[in-house]
Amino acid sequence: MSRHDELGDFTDFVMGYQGKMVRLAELLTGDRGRAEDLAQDGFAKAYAVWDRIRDGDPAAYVRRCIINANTDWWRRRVRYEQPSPQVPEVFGHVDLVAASAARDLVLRALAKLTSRERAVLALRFYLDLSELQIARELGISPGTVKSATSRALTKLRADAELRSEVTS
Amino acid sequence: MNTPQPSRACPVDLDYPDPQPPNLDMAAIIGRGRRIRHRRRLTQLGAALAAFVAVGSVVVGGRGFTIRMFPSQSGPAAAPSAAPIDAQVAEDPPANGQLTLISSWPGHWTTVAWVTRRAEVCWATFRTPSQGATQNVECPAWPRSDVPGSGGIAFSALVPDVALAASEFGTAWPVLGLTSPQAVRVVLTAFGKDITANVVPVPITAGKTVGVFLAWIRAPGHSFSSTDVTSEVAYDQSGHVIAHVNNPP
Repeated sequence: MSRHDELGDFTDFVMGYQGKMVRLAELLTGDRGRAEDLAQDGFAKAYAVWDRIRDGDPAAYVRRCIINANTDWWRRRVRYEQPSPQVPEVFGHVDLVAASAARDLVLRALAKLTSRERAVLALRFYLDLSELQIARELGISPGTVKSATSRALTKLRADAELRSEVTS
Repeated sequence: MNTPQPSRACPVDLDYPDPQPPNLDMAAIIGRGRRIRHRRRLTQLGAALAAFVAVGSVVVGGRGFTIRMFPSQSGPAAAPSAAPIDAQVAEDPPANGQLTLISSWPGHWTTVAWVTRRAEVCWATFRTPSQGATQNVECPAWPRSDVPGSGGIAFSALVPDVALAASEFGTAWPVLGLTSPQAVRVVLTAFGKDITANVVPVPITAGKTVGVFLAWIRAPGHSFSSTDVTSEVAYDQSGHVIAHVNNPP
């Protein structure tokens, strides 16, 4: 395969998955800038081994990079963060104020959980992975996935701010 | 505003509308991917040479290896065994059977670290149940490749992690880091102020240790990021600088 084909395939892959990966990282970190750093780094690692993973499940590879890197983000941020010359486009069909408020509410609620609980919730309820898949992704037992999910849901249901929002 | 609707059993909607589209830099991704490829080729070559040289020491180091799972908490650095994190620690137990106390400040908080059998460094911080139990565990926090050896004299993982974003101290943020075991203290500079942290030796195996430190950094606002720390310096027992990293703002 030519380098041009490889680049084209990879670019399509990034365009198709960047939204999902940035959201996953945002749910894990609670910080949009850091989420974009992690996603960008995950895609870069995927490009480094693109020949090997392209016919498999490259999205799973990036996902795993993001999860693993979440605990070790500091150096990447210092070394690799670069301002982008592109100004983000605005989604015309989204109520920006409402969307920001909804996002902030979710991220504030998730910030009260442990990192493992956040990861389990994001993989289960955002990416729809099974408990077994989550266990493999996080390197923990399915029982731990189950208990972490249960603990996280209990905390969220008891979250006074969330409850008052839902009630109002 | 849009109230988050329950998504299946989850009380919050994680698929909320995105107020801003992702803004990834494709050129940076490709450039970094190419650098990783290049470095990996060099590393593979180096690893082959190193493995050839290291075979003898691995054989010697393998003799008399024992694992104890929290049986004794000898020394002043041992943490209580009845920690609320035991269940999570059990998944990645310390290679030497011990958790090492990194800090018991502020009151009711305990922070411990340990090295797993895979030579990864983990840490956990938790508050006593009487104060409303809560915990945060990162394991592994640093992979084996980031752990400095006993002969190393440089930071390996710099200032790698931030925990407990919602601190009861308002704007104080805990920062954990790894450094050479020869270091006894580390000075971080953030917001124009120096913060000193003692370095605690955490056992790896066979008498080797890695230095772990915890610093609390007080941020003027309600946010804190890596770029707020502009310098990290590690000192040895004699007060000599053995590692110095600048992170220009």
